[in-house]
Amino acid sequence: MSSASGRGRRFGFLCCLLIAALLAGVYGVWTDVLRRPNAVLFPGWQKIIPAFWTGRQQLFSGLVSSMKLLIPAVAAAVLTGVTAGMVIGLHKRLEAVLIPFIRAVNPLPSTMLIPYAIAVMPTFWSSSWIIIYMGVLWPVIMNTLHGISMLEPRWIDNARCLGLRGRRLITKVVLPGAMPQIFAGINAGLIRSFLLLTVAEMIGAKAGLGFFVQYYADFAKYNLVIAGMIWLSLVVVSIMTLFDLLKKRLLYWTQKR
Amino acid sequence: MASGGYIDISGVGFGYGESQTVLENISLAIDRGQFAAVIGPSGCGKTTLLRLLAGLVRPTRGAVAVGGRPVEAPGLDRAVVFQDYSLFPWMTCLENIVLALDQAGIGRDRAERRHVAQTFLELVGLADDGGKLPGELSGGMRQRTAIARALAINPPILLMDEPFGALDEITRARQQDLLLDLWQGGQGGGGAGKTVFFVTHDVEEAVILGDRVIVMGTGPGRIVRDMTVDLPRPRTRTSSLRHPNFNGLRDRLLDELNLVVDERLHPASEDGARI
Repeated sequence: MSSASGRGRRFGFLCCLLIAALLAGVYGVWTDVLRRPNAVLFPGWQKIIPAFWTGRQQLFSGLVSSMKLLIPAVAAAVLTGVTAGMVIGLHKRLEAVLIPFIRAVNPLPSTMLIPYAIAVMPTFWSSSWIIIYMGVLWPVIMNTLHGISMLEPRWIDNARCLGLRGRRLITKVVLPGAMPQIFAGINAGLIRSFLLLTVAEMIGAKAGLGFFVQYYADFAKYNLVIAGMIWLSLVVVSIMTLFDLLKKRLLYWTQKR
Repeated sequence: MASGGYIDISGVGFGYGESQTVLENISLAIDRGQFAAVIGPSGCGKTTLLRLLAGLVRPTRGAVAVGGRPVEAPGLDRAVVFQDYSLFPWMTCLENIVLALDQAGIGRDRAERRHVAQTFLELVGLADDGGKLPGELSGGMRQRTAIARALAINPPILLMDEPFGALDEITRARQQDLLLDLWQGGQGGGGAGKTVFFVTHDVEEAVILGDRVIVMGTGPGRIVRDMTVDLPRPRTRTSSLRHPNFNGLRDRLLDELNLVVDERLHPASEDGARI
């Protein structure tokens, strides 16, 4: 079975590459060969590919700088989000009180917090950090709560029959049982974090993937902008792939039920 | 109505609010070491009765006691085997048993608990499957693991809620034989002397396994018949099936159940039809 799904994945990967190459080819013909669209907004590959080279240092330092912002913010949001979700979800009265607030805050774009973040937080980095943190925190909390409410009653019965209580109940039953939903929350949070990264890096950042794109867009250097976007996409795809691998590792049991 | 059984259910009622009565005035005494099979149509509250005994729910009326002490919460003196979900799907079979042993305070350390767990897996014929997740096993193997777990913590009472209900005919027959053998002291005696409360909807299963069969009826759930199964011990599935008394017992039981179902289907004709 594993070899079959492995073959499926390889097939998917090859198809992906093929489609990407096809799209790139069409774009190349359109711009480099036919020279149809506006040459400033739609530079051909002749200009984009060298842009990777000229921008290589900034692209790399941008990656490092973005990750220094993204990883701590997402990690902190996941840690506090899951913890808060567990505490709230296991105390039904607390949940009843807090759910309306969480629901109210969850859909607010944390970009709205930018002026406050700048005013309250001591540094530009911490202002950007808090924007991403807030954006990831709510989906993680919401999904952790959802995961707990969706725990199968039979698991709880089973745990009660075994006399599981307190910390052991949480580590042995509640956390693993809610894990699929928690991962869904982290997944949603990660996607949000990439969107917010660009916004967050507008706050006084001197480097970063989002900064790079934004910066060269201001100078109308769209070959560098597109190079930056492609680079950003590759990074996002890599991170999501790693995340999927981790998920598969930790949720091995969901595929065998 | 204190009848003084090891398991003592006296005047128990259970319902959700005023409107929905699930069980009404149930009194039942089960002796230590007895195998009691409970049978009834769906909706008769037999699972609820088991959950009351397990301490998962509290009666709204009456009292449930085990060994003279009232049941107030689940406890490891009463191991429960559910229909198909006694195991946590994220732990291997061995880990599931080790967790139960840990809770029961059996074994000095993890290594010893793993050893004990392995012994009980061997007892149910799953020596090589301890490392597998429940989801990787067949239904029959999962139930054997659940039985191994229940026996491993060595409780005086086993509560079994249609443990073989979801299995195919042949697998079910083999599980019945295994359970009979274990309970009658086979395979080293790990299952001997236990008081068993076995919920089923299978008439033959009830007769093959039980010392007595308790028939429950619906609307609301109540006990309509308490029948002794006078087949000799030790039994096997085959020895029971071939015993001259078996068919008579099975037919009487079927008649009782038919009456119960008839009453439910034609409540108006109750007085005339009941002969």
